[in-house]
Amino acid sequence: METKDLKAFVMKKENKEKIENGGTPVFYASDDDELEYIAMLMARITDTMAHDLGNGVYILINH
Amino acid sequence: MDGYEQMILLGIGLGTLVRMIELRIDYRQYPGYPHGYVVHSTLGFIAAALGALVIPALLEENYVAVTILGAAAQQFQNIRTMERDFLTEIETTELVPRGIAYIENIAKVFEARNYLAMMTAFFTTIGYYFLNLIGGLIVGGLTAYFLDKIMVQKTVGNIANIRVADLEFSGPTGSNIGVEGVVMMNVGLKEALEQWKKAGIGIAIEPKDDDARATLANIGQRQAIVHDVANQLGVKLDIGVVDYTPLARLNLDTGRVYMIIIPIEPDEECVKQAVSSTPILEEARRRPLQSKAGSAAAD
Repeated sequence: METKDLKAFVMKKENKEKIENGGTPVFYASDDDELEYIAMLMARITDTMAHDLGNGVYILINH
Repeated sequence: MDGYEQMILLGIGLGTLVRMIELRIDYRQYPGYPHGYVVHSTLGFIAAALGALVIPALLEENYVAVTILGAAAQQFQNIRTMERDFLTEIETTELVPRGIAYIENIAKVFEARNYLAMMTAFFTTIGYYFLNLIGGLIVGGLTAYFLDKIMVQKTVGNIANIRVADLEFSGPTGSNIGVEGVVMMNVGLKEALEQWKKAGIGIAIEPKDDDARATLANIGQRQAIVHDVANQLGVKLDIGVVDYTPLARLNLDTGRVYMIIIPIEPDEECVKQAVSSTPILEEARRRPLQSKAGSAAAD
């Protein structure tokens, strides 16, 4: 099986305490629209898939 | 080798003809390439020539020739390598890859079809020698017919029932896409989620018995199904857009395979048809019911 690469987190600033970051970049958005936009753009650019963890945190993973 | 011209030509002709009939373009569009046609017709011709020369060489008691023919037949293993290399090379350019197992299967089929041409030519010359021209044609034709029948691959439709199933969206934000309780994919982007809700199609593949269950569980077999469906009905994918990747996943409790896809042609019946006509890969076939332990454990 190929390895999966976690590229980035995208989330709103208010959810800051949801992750303890260990080296993966975090992108903060100010509202839901921006969150969606950043996640979409970054997924397209980095050839990754945006996943919604359901708690306001999006992760970008290279499958 | 006077007097064998007719015999040899008949064998070569029939063998090559059989190989060319086998080259018909099917939905996989392979080998739908004009150059592939030339390559395989030529190799088919060579195979037929080898097959046709065996009997005349034996009749002339030219055993050196027979031995060399045997060695030459070994060369046809290269066809498998050639096909495998070619398909593996272009694998990175496929939006939905075939998968190694499918490639191996296709390569094997191509190798086997050259032996079909060889055997046809061989039996044609035998028929010609013991009977006559018409006898040779009939024997050769029957050989080709039976070998072709043996070489027919089963399809998914033979071992499983296929039906359309609704997609389910679960999770706190409804972003987990699944079918009948099996979560298969998490889509973060709302735009992508809308697309799945609008055009996504779910397919349930129910294995008919435990043999089928083990076969369908094979990753290569599932990838082949996904590839074939995407190939026939199109798939909304591009570089950087991976949210619409078609997937096939197992229900571990029932052995059912669920598949989700956003085809370009949103016709559920056609998706069913495409799944049903996917060949069962030789490499993926399992028969646990044939074994003592497997059949005893099945009930």
